[in-house]
Amino acid sequence: MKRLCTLVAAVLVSTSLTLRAQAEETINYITAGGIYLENIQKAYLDPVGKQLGIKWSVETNDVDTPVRVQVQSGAVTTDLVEFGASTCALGGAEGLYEKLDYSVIDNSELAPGTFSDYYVGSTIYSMVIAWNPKKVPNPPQNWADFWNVEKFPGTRSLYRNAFYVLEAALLADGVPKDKLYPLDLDRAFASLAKIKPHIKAWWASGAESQQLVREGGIDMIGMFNARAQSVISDGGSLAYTFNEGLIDFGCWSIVKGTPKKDLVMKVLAEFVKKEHQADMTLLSNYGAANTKIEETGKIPADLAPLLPTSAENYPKQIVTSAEWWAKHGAEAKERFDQFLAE
Amino acid sequence: MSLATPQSLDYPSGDVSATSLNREALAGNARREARNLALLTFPAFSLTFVFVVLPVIWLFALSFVEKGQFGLGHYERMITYSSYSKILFTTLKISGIVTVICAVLGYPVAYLIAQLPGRLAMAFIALIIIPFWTSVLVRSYAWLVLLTDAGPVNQTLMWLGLVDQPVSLLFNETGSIIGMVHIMLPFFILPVYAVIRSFDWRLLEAASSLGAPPVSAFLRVFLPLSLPGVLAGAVLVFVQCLGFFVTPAVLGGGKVTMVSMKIASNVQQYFDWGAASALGIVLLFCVLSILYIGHRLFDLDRLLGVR
Repeated sequence: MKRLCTLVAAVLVSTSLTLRAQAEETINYITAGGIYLENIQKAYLDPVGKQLGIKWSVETNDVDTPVRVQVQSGAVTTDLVEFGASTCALGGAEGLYEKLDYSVIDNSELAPGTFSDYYVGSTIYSMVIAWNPKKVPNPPQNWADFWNVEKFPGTRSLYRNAFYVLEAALLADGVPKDKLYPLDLDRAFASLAKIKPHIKAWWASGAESQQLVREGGIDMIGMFNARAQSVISDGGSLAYTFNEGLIDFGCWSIVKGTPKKDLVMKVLAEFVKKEHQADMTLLSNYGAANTKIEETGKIPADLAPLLPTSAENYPKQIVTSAEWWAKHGAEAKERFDQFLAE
Repeated sequence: MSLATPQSLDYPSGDVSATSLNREALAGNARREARNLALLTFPAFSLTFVFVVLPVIWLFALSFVEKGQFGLGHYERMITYSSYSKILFTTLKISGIVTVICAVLGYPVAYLIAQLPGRLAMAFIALIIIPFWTSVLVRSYAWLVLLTDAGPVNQTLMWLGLVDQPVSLLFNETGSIIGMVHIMLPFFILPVYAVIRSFDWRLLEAASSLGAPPVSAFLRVFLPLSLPGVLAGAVLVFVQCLGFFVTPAVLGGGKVTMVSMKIASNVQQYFDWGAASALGIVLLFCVLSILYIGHRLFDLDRLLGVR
């Protein structure tokens, strides 16, 4: 009997211990990897985790396939995701994400267009024209220049993706900035065919684009602004312009059916605050969806010219349409693969 | 022993039943052995069935499902867009080229190592296996640095005066093939080495004592007996090449698309397993056809020592 009592006591104690351990909830989060994750960790996960008593389990992925599998099969293990805007827009339209509660999340400081019923903006980035100043003394200043191989000689590289590249092709062909959408696919591919023989390599990941300009013998490239900046900060020979940069933004969504919906909503309420977004900008050179980050006093004056969101840079660029890509992405990408194989 | 002869009249019945008993016992033995074999192989077979055969059947079924309904859309797309047949052809071509180069480069290496004394042979085998410990991604990026226009390979070629201008070794099929050969070579060398190692060298002595010159002793005795290793290596290399992703993606500069890359992009573009599985099924069908043709032409069973 005594032994039984001890056993019961042991079970009770261990149960209460487990309960206490569970009080610190774990949130499963999918985001991009590498340096991006390191910065996300410092700017958001560590401070917000401490504040709300949350542990993080992070998986890195650029595509929403795992979320689709989870929602389709009804076995949701991921709570929070961060993708590119068109991925969030498409997922939201297809019912992959929970509706956001803007009485919990304060969207008053967020840039218009960077939040919707199903997603809220994180970083803002831009696909810019970059070049090696040692090889290109007279650099291209817009996509038409990039397409002009006679006036601007040198090896070229572009993103191996219909997204951004079709926009660039249309701008190079003389389509005005404000008439870009809906994209004229036939015209875009005709324009792309002109530059294709001069593209030495099509890069597939941000890290690869950096590798190409450092060691791959590429003189001119379309790449993400912070990736270009990080090559320069590491002492690489590179320069870039925000002129005709193609802006897209990262976004957070809550996976439909997660049991931790309310907690994740509170997490997002923290994530959109200017303090954290300012930290992320400071670390990454990406712009922030929160337009008030400068009010925190954390952003030094010399950082502004490097941000796609600065008052000077923003008007030079074009904001890509997440809605158009959510609707026509599959067709455009299939044609792009066909174009590359021809 | 003919059963047709009316022997039951001449022989005591006991003998007949003894023979039939004997036969029954033998048959019983065979049955038991077969049963034991079946029992022993059951775990392996059931694993293969559950994790290979069933998923393939499932994939096959999925390839006819489009947005939750039956449809041939995934196959229609492969006909509408010529990129699919080009990608399949590129995949088979590159895999074939890599296999042939691996055979040409790997065979002499395996031959050499098999002749070396034990410790030296071990050292060579270690040298071949060590690169396995480095990730494929890292090795592919290493080639990216080596093969650029200003990289060491082109520098050396120009210094030697073999070429006047840098050869384009990168961001094309050449680059992909160089990288893939590097990664695949051990898969060819090791099985060939294993076969040559167990070769009975007295056969060569016998051949030369019967007057065969070294070249014909090699071609008519050694080479045919080493073919099972060559074929095993070739199949290993070829099949792995069909599924290559990282190396052609990095060294092909986006200009070389292999089936695995297209499968990945289809999963992302259509969010439909069918879009990817249809392509997998077509690849499987192509490979099985190639193996069947090879089988009819070269009698693979005999070469692989199956019978």
